[in-house]
Amino acid sequence: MSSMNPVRLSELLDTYGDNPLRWPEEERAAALQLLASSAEARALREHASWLDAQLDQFEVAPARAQLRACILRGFPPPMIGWRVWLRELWQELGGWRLVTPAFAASLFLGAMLPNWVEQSAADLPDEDLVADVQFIDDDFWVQP
Amino acid sequence: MAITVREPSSHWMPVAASAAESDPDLPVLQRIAGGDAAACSVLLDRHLARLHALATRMLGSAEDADEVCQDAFVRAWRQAPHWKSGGARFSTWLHQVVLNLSRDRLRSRRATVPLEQLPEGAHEDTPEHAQGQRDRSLMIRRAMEQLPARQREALLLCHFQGLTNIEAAAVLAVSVDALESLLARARRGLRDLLQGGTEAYSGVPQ
Repeated sequence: MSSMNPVRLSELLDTYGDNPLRWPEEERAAALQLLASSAEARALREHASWLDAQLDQFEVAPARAQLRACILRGFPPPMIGWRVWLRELWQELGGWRLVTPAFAASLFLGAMLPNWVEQSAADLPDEDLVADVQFIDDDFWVQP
Repeated sequence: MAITVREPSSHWMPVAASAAESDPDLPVLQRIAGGDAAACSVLLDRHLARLHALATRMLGSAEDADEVCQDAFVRAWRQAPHWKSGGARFSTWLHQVVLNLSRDRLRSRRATVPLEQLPEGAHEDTPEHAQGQRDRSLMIRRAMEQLPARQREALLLCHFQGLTNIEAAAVLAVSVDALESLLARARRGLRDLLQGGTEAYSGVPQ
């Protein structure tokens, strides 16, 4: 329990106004007790109540009914971060319409390319290969 | 003598006293993280009206407040799967988001539109309100606009949003002592401003 006196009560009223529900919970009971027993304390509260009454006149119109529906339409929220980046990249690449044929083509090339290379190597005459290697070898040993 | 504890005004929404207490929004956030759209409605029911009022008071425009709230709740849906218990309450975080979005708008607006040219936010859609009430509300708004931004925010959070001193200090990222200082200066400044402007018609005490 805090030590409540007219000075502290005056500070409370100057800070939080005249409504005890706005006062710090740990000081509320002591302040109310002081108010019950002191005419000076009640005069302080009376002084503070004018400003609270003024503030309570600052009214605003309630939110329009459609706002709630608008906000609910925002759920689930749009993706953010890397997922958005990935989606945009995907769309940039043409999405499934372009990526699927490209993937199929790369699969086809991956499967066929080794056969084509093997076939090309088999078609090359052996003596040409030996001559080429010899030519490289001679160049390598030429001194400046 | 019996001391009255005035009933909460229309601005007041009850909130728990301490951030350390269990956060009532946690189960709802877990459902939102699991894709439950009905849980979003629960979160909106709990917080939309209060956050919209904060944004409207900050910005003076219901339309701008609509946009701020939409943006804030999209962030809330995104934050739900990552929210960890044990820290600040989710409602405190939501207040922080709305406050930051409103500050951003105010900054960009100040670069382009003079404050006097802004629409009157309080009663655009409620013509049935008495002219006197409109005038008083506008006068408070104008006086609050003259306060330094941090003081105004402290007052909005504690008086109108019903946050505790600990929660409001967390939203503003200051100590409770600093918050109390902001609040006291805000109330003193506002009293001076209003007494200068209201003596003419309202019979201000003292």
